[in-house]
Amino acid sequence: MSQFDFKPVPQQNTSTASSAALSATRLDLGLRPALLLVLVFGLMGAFLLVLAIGSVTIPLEQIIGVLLGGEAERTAWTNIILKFRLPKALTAMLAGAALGVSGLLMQTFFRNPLAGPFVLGISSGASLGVALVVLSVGTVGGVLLAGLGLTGDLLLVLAAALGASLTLLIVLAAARRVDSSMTLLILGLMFGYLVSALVSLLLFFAVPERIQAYINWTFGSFGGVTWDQLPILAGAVLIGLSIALLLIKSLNALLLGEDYARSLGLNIQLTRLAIILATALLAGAVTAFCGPIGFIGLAVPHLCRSLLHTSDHRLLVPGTILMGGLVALIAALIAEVPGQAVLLPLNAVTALIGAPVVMLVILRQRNLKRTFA
Amino acid sequence: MSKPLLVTHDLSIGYRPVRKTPITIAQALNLELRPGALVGLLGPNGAGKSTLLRTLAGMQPALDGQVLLGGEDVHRLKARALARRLSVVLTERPNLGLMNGYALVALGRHPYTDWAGRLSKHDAAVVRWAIEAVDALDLADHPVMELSDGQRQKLMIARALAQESDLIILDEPTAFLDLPRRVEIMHLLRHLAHSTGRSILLSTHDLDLALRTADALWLLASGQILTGTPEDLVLSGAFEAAFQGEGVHFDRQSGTFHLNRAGGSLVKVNGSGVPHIWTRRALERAGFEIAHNGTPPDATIDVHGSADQLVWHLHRDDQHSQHASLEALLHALHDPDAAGNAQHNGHHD
Repeated sequence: MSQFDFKPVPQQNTSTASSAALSATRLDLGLRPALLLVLVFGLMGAFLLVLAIGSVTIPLEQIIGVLLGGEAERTAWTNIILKFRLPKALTAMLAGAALGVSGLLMQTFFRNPLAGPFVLGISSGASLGVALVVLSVGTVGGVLLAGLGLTGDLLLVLAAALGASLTLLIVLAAARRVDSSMTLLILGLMFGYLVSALVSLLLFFAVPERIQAYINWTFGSFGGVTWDQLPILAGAVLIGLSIALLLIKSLNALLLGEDYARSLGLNIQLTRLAIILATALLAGAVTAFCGPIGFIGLAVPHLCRSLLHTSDHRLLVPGTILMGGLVALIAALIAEVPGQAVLLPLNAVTALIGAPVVMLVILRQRNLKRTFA
Repeated sequence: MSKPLLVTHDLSIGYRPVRKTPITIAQALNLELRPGALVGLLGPNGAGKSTLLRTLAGMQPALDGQVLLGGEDVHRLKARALARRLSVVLTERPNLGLMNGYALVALGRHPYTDWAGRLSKHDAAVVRWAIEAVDALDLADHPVMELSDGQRQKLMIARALAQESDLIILDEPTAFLDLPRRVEIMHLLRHLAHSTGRSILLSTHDLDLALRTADALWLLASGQILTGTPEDLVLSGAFEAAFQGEGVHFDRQSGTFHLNRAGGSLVKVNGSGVPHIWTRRALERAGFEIAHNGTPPDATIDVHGSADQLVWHLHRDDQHSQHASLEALLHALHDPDAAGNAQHNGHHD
């Protein structure tokens, strides 16, 4: 009573037919690293533009001259470039790369396209840390800490990184209990509200000028980092990016889900820890120095997948570093309002310009599921 | 006889809920898996097939006892060492984004590649071999998200093969597939087990298919496992016992399960070949019992003609009618008045 023929599939016939057709098709991973070059050139261009454009416009050859160690025609130009615009451009590049990569880490880790440092409350955690420091400095704590020789900036980084790490640990503890990433996102969101409430309480009891300082910090800015502070930011970001680069292989395995990744020989506990560490370091440091910049972390990985047309982290991690830097530089350029003395809040600019761009990219892809890994 | 690849010693499987006593699903399991064999794990829903597979694969701790793979405890091996000995194909369907077929299979080289996951020449050759082994070369440059379930499953099997493990464990590899694809996948797995000398252990709900393809079966039911060749298990009645349930009975002759329909009348079918088979199937489906030698039937059906011109003659009591399709025949059997009409029409034709 055979329902149909149970003979084995005629393997020979089909395989010869397909291998004949295949002589034209190459067996490869479908990677196009050459596209990274486009990003490199874009990044260099945007970098020079940020140095050139602002309340005064400086000619390109003057900028290159100054960068090569010379003097500009006018001393003011040399000052503007070296004291203000160069640290700002470097900060923007570092911050953009850091936010992009931490967003990518979170999206792959939680296998959710909506994940990003901000969505999971990591930036909120950092905000709480910073709020605690900014709003309490000047009172008892400030005196005490100054006495210990801790400078305010290092303290901010520590507070923000601590806040970010604690938040991520809480999210992870929850992640171990719930399987659904959607539940996790809701938990992250709720945690964000919780933290905002705490910050509100702090604001309620704080001195007015401290409140203004905190609000200015929440606007976000790449311009507040001095040459003295830059090495701290750069150090934290470079360590975070290095961890992310070392995680490339693990991230690719995680695309299959944790069970599969483990069956491929991945040490999940160690990987989890490394991802937490890198994300907290990257998002925490940037949030401390530049404020909570919400948009770049979510958008850049998506832009990168669209451009590079891959889910492979061997391209995505370097791609996100470059793309993040590029997007942040462009945002800095727009916030500057060329030719005007006004400086727009960075957060408003990133979302105002970036959101429609991402909408367009995603709608053009028709299906987010396909682009997202 | 070759040495067993996988052995369990007094294995207990189950769950350890937080702050509660462990829930044991099965205990005192002493199982053996030999190289080059395709073994089917069968059992009713909720019997614990996935739990057993996950425990054997080291993905879930055992409540008690040991799982030895090539002499080493799978729960003590480091993840990377275990990945070189054992690969899995799970029921979950990961969202693979823009990954192409080749990249998916290449992930199977994870336990062998360097920190960046670069493929050496040897790795690339193994990946190519694995893709060829499942006959999926034409899928290699397609985005996995665009493939059908069957094509995807082939690539997941190729990925497991690329891991070059001695044992492949698959949890319901045929679950989402249509029947021809199920047969294809099962035969592919059997072929791979026999030709590569790997052990393949899979759980499935396709009893019929498992009976026909597996070298051995593990029947997991009510906390016990019975093992043996499929035919032995059928003859001993173990197969029947594992799946018995109300309203279902196992037909040992055909090796399939049928719905019990009490009170179906007895019908005898005369004829041969394919039309005979499908006539019997239609009658069984409609709730009639097929008469074998001996018992006098309530009705007799003769199948005449060749493929393009089949005629069914129905004899019941002293009535006779003829029908041009099984649909008309079933209609006539259910409704004697209609039979009269059919007879009438038949005479006119």
